[in-house]
Amino acid sequence: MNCSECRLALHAHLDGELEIANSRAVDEHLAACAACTEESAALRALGERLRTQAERPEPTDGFEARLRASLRAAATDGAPPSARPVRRAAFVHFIPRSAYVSLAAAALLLAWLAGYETGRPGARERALESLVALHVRSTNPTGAIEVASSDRHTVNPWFQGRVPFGVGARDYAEQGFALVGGRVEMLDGAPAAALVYRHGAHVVTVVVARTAASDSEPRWSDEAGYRLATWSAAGLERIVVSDADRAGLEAFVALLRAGS
Amino acid sequence: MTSADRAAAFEIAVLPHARAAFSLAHWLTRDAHDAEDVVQEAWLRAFKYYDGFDGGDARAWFLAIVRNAFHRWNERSERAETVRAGKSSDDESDRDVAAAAASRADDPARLAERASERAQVNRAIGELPLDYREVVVLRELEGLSYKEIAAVVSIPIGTVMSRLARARERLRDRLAATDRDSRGDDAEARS
Repeated sequence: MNCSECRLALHAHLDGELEIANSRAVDEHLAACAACTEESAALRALGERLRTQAERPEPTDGFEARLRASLRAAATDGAPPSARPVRRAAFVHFIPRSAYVSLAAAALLLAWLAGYETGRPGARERALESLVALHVRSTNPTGAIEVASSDRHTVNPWFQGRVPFGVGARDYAEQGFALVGGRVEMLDGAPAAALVYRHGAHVVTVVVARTAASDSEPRWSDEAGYRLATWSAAGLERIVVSDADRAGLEAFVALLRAGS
Repeated sequence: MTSADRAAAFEIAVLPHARAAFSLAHWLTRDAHDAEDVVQEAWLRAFKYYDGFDGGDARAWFLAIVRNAFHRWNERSERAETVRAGKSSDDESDRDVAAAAASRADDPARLAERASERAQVNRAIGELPLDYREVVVLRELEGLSYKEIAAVVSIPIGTVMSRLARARERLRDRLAATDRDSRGDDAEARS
């Protein structure tokens, strides 16, 4: 490989887009060429600077809520789109199998909630509905995690300025609940932290949100294949959502309560 | 499937990408309010065409719709002229952009901003022509693969590579120039 070939391939090489054989050829050339090595270092530094210093603009509060509201308005219009059923096969292809099971369960739960709406406080049910949707998002492998790390010294600072409270995320990998990462979610119009854990084959979402409620013991809901536990402590509400088994989740809840 | 189910399925597939969509729209429009308008339009459009979605990469699919919504907005917009100023890549428009940056630099608040490296990086990206800006944002900020960028922008992968290379070259030149400027200012301040 000569210098001009190297310069052509260098971007793809640094972006991890080069096949292994070509990548090796670039590395070999770099080992022998000071000028291309300098170019490579400069590009690497530029990439680092862009990724760490460029702004990723954040929408104002309630952005997702506004999108969802406009969707509900469009969906209940009885507009033409609703006339045709969703191409189910395509959708199944997109969602991983395990998540599809969760999705079916979520649909059941939504149906249950819809039938249950009368006679109980509405806000709670709406929250449950959005919590299940929120958890199902945790099982989506593409883009559902905004900060991917098992290190609380990475995850907690990331939430600073994104949510108005300390999240206090911890990794419990030794106890079987490995921290995968987190993201910001809108819950009842306020930013909340969603932490994603992996427990064997199951995904567990822990939502942390501010609350005015006084401290409370965990309250369990066990419906349609999902288990939700919610409790308040020190002005923060924590909600655990998962399709993992109850005993494991109870142990996890105890860990979280001991740690927070 | 009822329309409520359809909306729920759409939301699960697409809502996780709303923030990436906002970031892209913001970098294209350079305005938070316009960015939300663009995403809002794209969101409903995506819902309308969701039946035609092949079930592949939802993020790339949605970002492509956001990009198209931006171009429609850009054509409609009264500000089309200012936004388009960055689009042509000839020297004249570069001079315009440089002149605009220089006139802003007289403002004391702008001087303070210039001291910040972050502001320099953001300005350098913001001043890229649209064709270059979008590939840089998709690659460096949103972490899309070349293949995904090709799908969002509807260009061949080879064009993704060459645009990225040229965009990065410009960014390096621009940042090297602003770094030199701020060093020059320091020297002036000391003398």
